Amino acid sequence: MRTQPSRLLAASVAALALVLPGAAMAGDDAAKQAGTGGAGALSDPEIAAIVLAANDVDIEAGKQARNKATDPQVKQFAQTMVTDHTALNEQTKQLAKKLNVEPKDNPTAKKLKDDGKATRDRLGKLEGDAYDRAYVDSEVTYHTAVLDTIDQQLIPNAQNPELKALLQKARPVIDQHLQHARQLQNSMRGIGGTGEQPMEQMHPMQPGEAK
Amino acid sequence: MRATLLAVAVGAASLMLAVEADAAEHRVEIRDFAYSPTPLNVAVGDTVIFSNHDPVPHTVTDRAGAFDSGQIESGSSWTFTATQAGEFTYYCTLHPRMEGNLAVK
Repeated sequence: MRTQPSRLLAASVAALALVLPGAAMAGDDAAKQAGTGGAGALSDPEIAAIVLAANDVDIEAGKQARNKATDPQVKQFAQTMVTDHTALNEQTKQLAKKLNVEPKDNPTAKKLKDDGKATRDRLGKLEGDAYDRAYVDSEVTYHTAVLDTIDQQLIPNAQNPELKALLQKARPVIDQHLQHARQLQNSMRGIGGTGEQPMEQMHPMQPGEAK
Repeated sequence: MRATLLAVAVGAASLMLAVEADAAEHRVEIRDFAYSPTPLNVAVGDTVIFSNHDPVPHTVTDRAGAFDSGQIESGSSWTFTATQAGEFTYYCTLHPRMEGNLAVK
């Protein structure tokens, strides 16, 4: 196990905390806990678990949006999120199997899942245009945070070259999702939205039924 | 009679070979959420192989509805045979920011 400066992990968790309402206060604690044995660095099994959790969170968000969104472009974006993150998860699982890496749950992965569900429940109460805008805003924030985590935490800590390569291959996908979400966000603001959706309002998702 | 039949058969086979020989094969690589090369000029009868090198699926879908690959999974390819002349603008239904152009003459 390599030792990494704990501030890197703290930065990562703080970035993820942006996505997760109510997570910020727990960020420091999560940072302290996330490292194995307090070393502050993530192991490959932990990285695999974070990748799987991050994809799962956005798949569930996409399933909810696929059902609830009213704007056809938002619905299509949601479908793309489900498709792409499912593909990324499948490749992660295949690689983990090939490398004999058993994804290991950790505070960062757990927080992603827990806060993802909380946000999904909260957004699930919104309807129509308010829901569409809240979902797209949350996707912008989420993918920004995930990109930051990939760059600052996951890629630097990945030990296995194939796992590192997978992360490097996934990065442009996340970046494209971010650009796509921003485009939608701007388009919706132009259509008449106020664009005043609070950035704290983050993550949607719900184990909604696929269409 | 037999010789005539043989001559006709050989003639037909030659014609088929000639057509096949004239049909060119082109390749479009899908990488980093972009089609390359684009624009691409081909002739009627040519084939275009679209190969997806990204870790997520893409499509090659004509905006006017002339063709649609359906999902091309990561590491897979789709072969398009140009059967009609025209100028086509295609895109990815999953990632609408991706767009390419194909001219069939």
